[in-house]
Amino acid sequence: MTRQSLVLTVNGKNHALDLAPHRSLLDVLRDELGLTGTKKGCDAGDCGACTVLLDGAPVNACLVLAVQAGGQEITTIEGVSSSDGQLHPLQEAFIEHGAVQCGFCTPGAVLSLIALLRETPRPTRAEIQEALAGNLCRCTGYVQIIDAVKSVADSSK
Amino acid sequence: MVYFDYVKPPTLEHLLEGLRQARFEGAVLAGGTDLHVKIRSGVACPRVVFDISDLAPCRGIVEQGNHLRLGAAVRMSEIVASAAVRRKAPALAAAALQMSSRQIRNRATLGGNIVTASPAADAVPPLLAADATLVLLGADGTREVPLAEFLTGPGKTCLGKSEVLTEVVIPSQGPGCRSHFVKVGRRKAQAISIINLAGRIDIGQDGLVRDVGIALGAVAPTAMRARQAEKALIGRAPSAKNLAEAAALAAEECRPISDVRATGSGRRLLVEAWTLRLLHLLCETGGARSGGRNS
Repeated sequence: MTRQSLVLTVNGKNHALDLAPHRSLLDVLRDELGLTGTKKGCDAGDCGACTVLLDGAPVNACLVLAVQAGGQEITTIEGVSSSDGQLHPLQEAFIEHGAVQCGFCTPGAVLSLIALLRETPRPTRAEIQEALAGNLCRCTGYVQIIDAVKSVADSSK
Repeated sequence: MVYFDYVKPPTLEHLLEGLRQARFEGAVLAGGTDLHVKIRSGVACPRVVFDISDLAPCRGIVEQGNHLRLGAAVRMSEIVASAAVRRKAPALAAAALQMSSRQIRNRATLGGNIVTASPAADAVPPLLAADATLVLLGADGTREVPLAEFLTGPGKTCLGKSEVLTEVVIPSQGPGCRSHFVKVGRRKAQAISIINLAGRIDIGQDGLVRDVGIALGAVAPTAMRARQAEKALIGRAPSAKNLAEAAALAAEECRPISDVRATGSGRRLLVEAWTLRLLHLLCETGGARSGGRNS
């Protein structure tokens, strides 16, 4: 097995790494870069807890090899707040609407929905549900999450 | 954990040479949504993984004469976004849209969905109903194989160990032709199909069925054409009685098994009900040209 050198661009920062090719982007984000906001749920592409943005598009980080992500812009939950630590408006709305309970699905859900809002600033409930279909929540439920997205969309006129 | 080397071949020639050198221990990586899970669970243990996700000859969506050529590494999200696919192969566009989640559609590829050879693969019935063929590249050159012959059983295909699927060729849907896809699953998203089906129909000026293709998924070892149902419709009027007769034939000729998702007899009932609905959608005037979302 030959290790590979590459540069990962995560939240605007470049990281030079030397990696075994079998390692998933998820494991490298968590274990090499310490970005533990990206959660490991099923590790098989079902739960969406590990959702990150690759060049703006939501993907399951467990199903991408880290060596495949070189040269692409990776955004994790740590990269969505502003540099002075101000939460993203969607994160504020999640808190406001009680859309977080255990919190395990929250980072992935927030990233999926940020991608939706960039593409569709005023989504319908059906569009929100569709964008959220790959993010499983097993405690709070989805109604509060959808309400949170609606409130952000309605306030961004 | 299985360790492997990772290679991104710059050309198809490099890929073939790499596969040859890896003997039977090479795996082709397109989207990785199946392969990574198989490697992690020990079902696949390649020594070398060849990433074709950026390989130009496997990436195109090209209209060529009466055909649409799709590279094996075209992602489901790209199929959904393609105006050419929506126009020339609307049932495939509908299937891609209903597949799994956004995260998966942003990675999963058309070639992967075919080569994995799940009997429930959603992209397969639309391609089968449209008489799609596959371009396979090996050391001795390319061969073009009808999709119906390529799939030989659950997880099984006629792809040689050192061969690669590079392109899918779909006869374009003519102006008078309509097609549609239906998926029946536990939820609208991220569900393996209990059954899926696609249909294509061409009704002549005389109001009679000139040509029809009906493909059923998850009700036989591979997706299958409902040939008896098709035969019963050709040259006849698409009346409610004739459509019902065809749907009953489709239910008769499928060979479903019982598994965690449904019983065999339940699947047969679904085939009859949904084939009937599919045929009605296909024969309606106006609308339903691009396939809808069903569950």
